[in-house]
Formats: sequence, structure tokens, C-alpha cells
Amino acid sequence: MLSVDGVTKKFGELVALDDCSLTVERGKILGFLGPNGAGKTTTMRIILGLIDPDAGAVSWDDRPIDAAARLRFGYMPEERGLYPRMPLHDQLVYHGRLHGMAKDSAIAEATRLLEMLSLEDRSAAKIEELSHGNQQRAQLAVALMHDPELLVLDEPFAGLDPIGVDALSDVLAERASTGTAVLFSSHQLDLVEDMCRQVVIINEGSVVLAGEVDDLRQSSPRRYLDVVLEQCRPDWVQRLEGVDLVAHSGNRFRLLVDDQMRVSDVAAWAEQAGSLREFSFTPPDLSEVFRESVRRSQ
Amino acid sequence: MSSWKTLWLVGSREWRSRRKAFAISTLILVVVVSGGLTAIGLTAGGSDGPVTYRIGTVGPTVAVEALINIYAPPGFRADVKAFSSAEEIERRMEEGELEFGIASATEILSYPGRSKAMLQAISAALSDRQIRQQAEALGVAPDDLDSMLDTTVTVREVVEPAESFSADSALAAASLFFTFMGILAYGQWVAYGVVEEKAGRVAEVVLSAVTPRQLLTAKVVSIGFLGFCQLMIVGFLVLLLGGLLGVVDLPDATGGAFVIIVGWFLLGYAFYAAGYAASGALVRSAQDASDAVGGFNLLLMVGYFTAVSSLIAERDTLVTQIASFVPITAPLTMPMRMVRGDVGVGQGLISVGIMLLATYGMVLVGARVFRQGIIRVGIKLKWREVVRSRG
Repeated sequence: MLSVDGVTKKFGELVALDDCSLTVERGKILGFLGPNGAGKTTTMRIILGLIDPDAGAVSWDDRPIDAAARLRFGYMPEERGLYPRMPLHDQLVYHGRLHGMAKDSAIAEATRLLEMLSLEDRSAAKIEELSHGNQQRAQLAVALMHDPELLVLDEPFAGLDPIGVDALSDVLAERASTGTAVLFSSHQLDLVEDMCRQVVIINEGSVVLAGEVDDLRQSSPRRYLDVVLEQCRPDWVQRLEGVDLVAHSGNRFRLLVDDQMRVSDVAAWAEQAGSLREFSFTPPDLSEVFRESVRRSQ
Repeated sequence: MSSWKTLWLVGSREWRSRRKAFAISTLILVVVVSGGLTAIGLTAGGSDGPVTYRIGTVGPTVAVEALINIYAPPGFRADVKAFSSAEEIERRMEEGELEFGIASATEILSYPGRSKAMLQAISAALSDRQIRQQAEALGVAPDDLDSMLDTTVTVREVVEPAESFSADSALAAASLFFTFMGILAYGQWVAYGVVEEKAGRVAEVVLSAVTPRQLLTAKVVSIGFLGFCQLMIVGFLVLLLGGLLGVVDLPDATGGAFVIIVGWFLLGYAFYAAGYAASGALVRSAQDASDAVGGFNLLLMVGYFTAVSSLIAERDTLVTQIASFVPITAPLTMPMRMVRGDVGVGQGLISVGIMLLATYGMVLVGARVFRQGIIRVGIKLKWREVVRSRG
């Protein structure tokens, strides 16, 4: 299990991380969310030992992370980086060997991964000759080469087309099912909601929300009402107290209400206002939870 | 994984990525050096071809000159002039008018380290003449002459004229040039390599598996090894063409000078490469690469021009003496002074000791700056800021 415990990091006067804590268990995928500049990349770099924390500790299986432990981690940084003039297959073998693989194993694994990622016909191509999407896949292959126990992926879905997103999602799910701990950051919150049971939301260096996605949604003090109402008066929403109109398109209304409000009251108002066709009462989705938590922390 | 294996993996990637540039630059150097040496060999001594040595002798000249030219290797020629006494010949040599003198039938006058090939030719000619004279006087048949070939001829070295641009000065100039070019070229390779890895963001991936110190060490050592190989190739080419094939007449001190050049290249390279690597790690982007090398290029220039000023002055100036103990300038000034014979072994060792300490310090500071700067992309960092910051 990866454990980040009370990590603080300053760059001059800027507090990049302030008492940040999170855990990722083996076989689990943790979504690491936050606005730009929140401290996600700094946290990941500290986990990988690229920078030292000013305070706090990072451990793997309850032991401080040393160089040998880091060799069992796979990393995909936000800014993709591979040797532009090195052939793809050689690149994978090189990085695999840097993580301690024997030459023969590295060659075999590189060949297998390139087939899995549909890159086998580009194995001799230099990285600079690959398309953006294929460079993304190559970068992922580098992170997967040595069958890591922990995968740390910084914005792995950025710039991928839907097919690439599906392929990467499948790979991460498959790795997690074999016991790999996966920590990844993303701004594509619908994707995170689909892939992760657990998320950590960070803002301005501090963790502002953490837990199971369903719990976080249910614990929100707000609920969304989706209503389809025909032959209604245009101002029917303004007449309701404690209800905010979030979106309106044709007969479809999306309303934000306090979770203390009685559903039956709203339904009754809606029926008085027009002909009610649809009515749903749901907790906010992850992106709304994210916005709420970030807003609250500011 | 062992640290050595990591260093080997990273270092061998550096070699592979630079093999084409190394092959091309080595080829160019080989062509330039062999062409230059051949041209010197062909043109030295005037437009009529062979290198002419002026030799003074007491007594008749024609027979001696003919004998020496028989024994002289291709490309060398003796111009023998008669003088009244051995003292007169020695005086003329000290004034730089003669390269060799024949003081008697068994004594040759020569400058230290001057053309071994011509010295052997004169020696052989004197032995030959002596044997023939003795054989004739004793009535020995020509067939018995072989038994007399053990005649020993002694060589006495005399003071070389101070005003001439000596062979040692030429060697010193060569040592300066090759040390300067070696440190400059290979130090810049290190800087540009670091900039490339930083700007291309690959450093962040590599550093998740190896430590910054391992990456820095592997880069500096592997590129330095290429520089060492190139220097050895050129050095052996010079010795081969000059010494063995006799294309040019090399001073005896050439071998020793070569060792000094290589040793000081390695010292200077280690010092400067650590600095170049750290500078490369501080740049904002690949476009700023020239900024990375500019500062250390300038420092190298200071040492280079300090040494050149001493070469032009043809004397060991106070500035050069001081500079040869300052780590920034010592890699260029000290080997030049050592090759020219301006310093003894003791001073040389003191300078080497200072240089080793300074290199150790530079490697520590360089590694720290490298570690701090290599993953901080997009901002221009300053040495002071990075050295003071944590992690």
C-alpha cells in the first residue's frame, strides 16, 4: 500500500503542499483530482523521489521508499518525455532495463506490450516519427514495462481520442485486477467516476475531500432535480424558495435543491405549474462534488 | 540493480546516441592532423623539400656532409659548415645559428631533445669515418671492418638559445590547443545532453528509476571517455606519423607531453563537465541552451588566453604562474608550463592536488544543482537559488 502522510512542500514562499495525506491500496485505482496548480504533480514527484518533501513521509508497504522500491514503480509524467530519436522498441527495452529487467525479458516484454497497444508495426520507428496518440501509448508502455507494483500516472488521458481512452482504461483496470496499485490524476471527471471507487480532491496544496465516490456524492448537502414539464409557466421556478435553476432547455429543467427539502413538496409544485412528464432526484455527480469542494476550500 | 549496471546502461546509451557525431568529428580530426603533419613534413626546411639541419664542424666539411646525408632518413638533409674550434661551434649554437655541432671525431653537440633521427645519422657518419680511418691506418681489410662497429660516440647537450621558438614551445602550444578544444567540445556535449533531456522531459522518466547522481556521473564519464578516446587516437596518430614513419621530426619530449595533455584533459574535463551539466539543468528550454554553455565557455577562454599570452611572450609570466594554481585556469596553463619545462614535479603535483579538490567540490555542487534543476521545466533558474533550496 502506498501511504502519503502529512507531506508539506514549499517552493520559496509558495506552499505547494500543506499536510497532504492519501493512501492507495494494492489492486485499487485512486483518482487524484484538483484544479491546475493544486499540487497533484508535486505529490506524484515526491512519491517518485524526484523532489524531497519539507515535512511528512511517503511509504510503500509501511516502509520508507528507497531506490529499490522505486524500481518497482511505474511513472507517466504529465509532460510526456521519451528520447525522440531512439526507436520505440529500443526505448522500451532501455527503460525496462533501467528498472532492473534482464535484457532478454525486456526485449520479450517490449514486444508483447507493443502488440497489446497495437504498436507492433511501429516498433522500429523513432519516437519523433509517431503520432501524438501513439507517443502517449509508448509512454504508457514505458510505465508498464517492468510490471510495476504501483502505477503513478499524471494526466494519462490528456489528448487521447475516445478509442485511446477506452484502451487505456482497460489496461489500468486489468493492471488493478492483478494487484497493482494505481494513482492517477485527471480533469476528465466523468472518466474518473467510471474508473475509480475512491478519489482524493486537493486544492491549494491541501486535501479538501477524500473517500469513496458514492459516499462523497451522497454526503453532499445538495441534490439535483431533473424535471420535464410541459405547458408550464416560464416563471414557475422563481416562485419556489430554496431552489436554484441550474440549466434549462425546452421543457427540461435542472434544479439544485437543499438535501433537506422534501421531494414531495417540489413534485407538488411542479404538478401545479404544468404537466409533469419526468421527475428525478439525484445526488450531484463527481464533477459537481469537485466544484463544490474546491469552492468551499477557497 | 547494481549502481555499476545502471551507470553502464545510461553511459552506453550516451555512446550510442553520439556515435555518429563522434565518428565524424574524429574523422575530421584525423584528416586535419595527418594532412597538417604531412604538409609540415613536406614544407619544413624551405621550399626545396627536405628538412635541413645546420651542422658545425672543425675541419673539412664535404666528406662529413656526404656521409651524414647517406645516413640521414628520407626528408632530412645536413648542411655542414666549418668553424675554427669546438668553442666557436658551441657559441654559434647558443646563438641559434646551428642545430648540431661536431666538436671532435667522438663528440656531438646537440640541444636537449632535438631530432633523434638526425642525431643518429651524424653519429653513424662519425663512426663510419672513424672506422674507415682506423682500418686504413692499420691496414685492415674492408671485410674486417664489421668488428670495429662498436665505436661509441657520446652526445653532450648544450644550452638552447632562449630567443628561438623551441620544440618545447611548439609542444606546449599543441598541448594547450588539444586540452582547450577537448574540454570545450566534450563539456558542451554534456551541457547540450542535459538540456536535451530536460527540455524533452525524458529526465523525469529516467530519474524515476535512477538517482540524479547516477545520471550525472554516467553522462559525464561516458562523454569524457569519448573525448579521451579521440585524444588517444589523435595522439597516437601524431606519434605514428612523426616518430615511426618520420613524416615530421618530433622532439623526444613528445611522448611525455602526450601523457601530460591526456592527464590534464581528464582533470579539466571532470571539473568543467560537472559545471556544464549543472548549467544545462538550469535552462528554461532548449532555446536557452547557449546560455547554459556561455558562462563556462567564458571561463575556459580566460584560461586559454592567459596561456596564449605566455606562449606569445615566450616566457613564464607571473599571471600564468598564478593561473596554473587556480582551478578555473589551471587545466590550460599548467600543462602548457609543464610541457615547456617551466615547472618542476613538485609544483605540478601541488596544482594537481588543488585541481582534484576543486573537482570534487564542483562535482558535489554540480550534482546538487543538476538534481534541483533537471525537472523544473519552464522557469529560468539561478545557481544561487538552486544551491540554497531544498529538494
